[in-house]
Amino acid sequence: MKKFIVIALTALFSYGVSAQTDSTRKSHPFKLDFLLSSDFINTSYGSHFGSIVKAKWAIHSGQHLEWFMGIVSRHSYLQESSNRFTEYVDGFTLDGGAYFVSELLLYPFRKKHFFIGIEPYAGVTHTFSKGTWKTDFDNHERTFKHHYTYFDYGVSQSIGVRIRQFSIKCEAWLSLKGVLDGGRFRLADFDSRFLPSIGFGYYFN
Amino acid sequence: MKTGGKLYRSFLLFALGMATLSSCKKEKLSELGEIHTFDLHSQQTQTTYSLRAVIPNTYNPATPAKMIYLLDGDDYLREAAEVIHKTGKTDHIVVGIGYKGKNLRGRDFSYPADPDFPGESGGGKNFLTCLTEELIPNVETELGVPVKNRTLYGHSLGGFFSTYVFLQQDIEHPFTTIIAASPNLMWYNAYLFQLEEAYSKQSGALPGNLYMTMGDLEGASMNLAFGAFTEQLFLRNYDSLHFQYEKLENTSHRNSPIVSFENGLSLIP
Repeated sequence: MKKFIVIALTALFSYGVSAQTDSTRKSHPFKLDFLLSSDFINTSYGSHFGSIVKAKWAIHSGQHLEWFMGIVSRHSYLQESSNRFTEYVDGFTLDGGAYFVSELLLYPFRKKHFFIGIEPYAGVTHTFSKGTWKTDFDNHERTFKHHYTYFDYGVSQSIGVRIRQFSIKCEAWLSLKGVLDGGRFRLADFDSRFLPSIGFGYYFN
Repeated sequence: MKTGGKLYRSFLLFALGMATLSSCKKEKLSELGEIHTFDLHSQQTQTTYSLRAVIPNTYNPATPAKMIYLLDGDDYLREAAEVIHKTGKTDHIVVGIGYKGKNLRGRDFSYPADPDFPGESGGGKNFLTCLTEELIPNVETELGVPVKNRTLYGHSLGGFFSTYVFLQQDIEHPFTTIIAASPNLMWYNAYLFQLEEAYSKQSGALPGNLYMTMGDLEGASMNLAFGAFTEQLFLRNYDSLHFQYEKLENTSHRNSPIVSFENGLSLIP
């Protein structure tokens, strides 16, 4: 089954590349998306915010379907000093990465405004945690620093509205790392992010 | 049109792939052992707990059992039973403690109450009384097996509670082994640090086995608290304490529960 998912994801990427040769209309060959994200599930660790920037090229632009291929840069910051449990921590966790994406947008109605989308991604994520621990009952200060880089993959799902060259959308970034790496399926973990986000896109002529 | 057809086919292929994600074959509990399921309404906490015990098929009823009480049983029982099955431990009986209705782990696994915590908290002492006076006696009477020893397993706030049980002195507990996976040692401004400090002033011995873990991908705060607490406990050098702790490599918070469970089994005498 896991192999089947890999094949399905690969098929989307590989098809997108090959489809460039027989694409139809390309009214807007390039678009940029900018989104702000936050991890609402792990708020006890501290406040979390991030950004996602996407640059995508149109492969296909039909009446109801659009297909894009592109690259994504994602970064997020978790301010652990504001964690819910203790004031003894001063620290943070940063994570970010670069990914290849293939986005399918479906416009279900005759007028091309409302859309839903699905966007598999694959790339590399780097996470970095750093902090200090100092209590009022122990003067010994402890430090922690940790780097980890890993292959990351998953899917974003979006819903939004397009008005001329602009679009506004809500998106859910879902890493599926836990599905294939032999670990537990772990939605919204530090190495398997679930990031609801909101943002806008602009289509260039 | 040709492109559109390919698009739809690829889309369907992907959608099918996503749909099968949720239908992965999971090993049924009944294949892992004999299942005993019952509910218990606690007078102490006024809560109904859903309890499931998995007795290995190869268990010999004449052999005293090693009982493992699993907090968050609703989440971890199947995986824990798979580990017991895989490792061939024929005398280990896992009891998953879950909730009949709303999950009240925030209330049951925490002490003292934290006003900043959303929802009810601070019921740890009540829950421990429920465990020792109601839940465990009922489970063991129901199962009717001789008992060799008891282990308490908890993850995250459950790990905090397990460690709290080990260190508190108000209520006598029946556990010889504690497995605390990714414990939230920060609770109530690191309350457990002070509890341990208080214990150390009263006794130089801490009888029992304690196994604690933390994944290195659990962020700075969890790792810092873990490092500080294990160091504090290690340096105390208690008599009668068999203490092991482990940093799990490339492991995040929700990936640590079962690895820790499996590793912790080795401490059960």
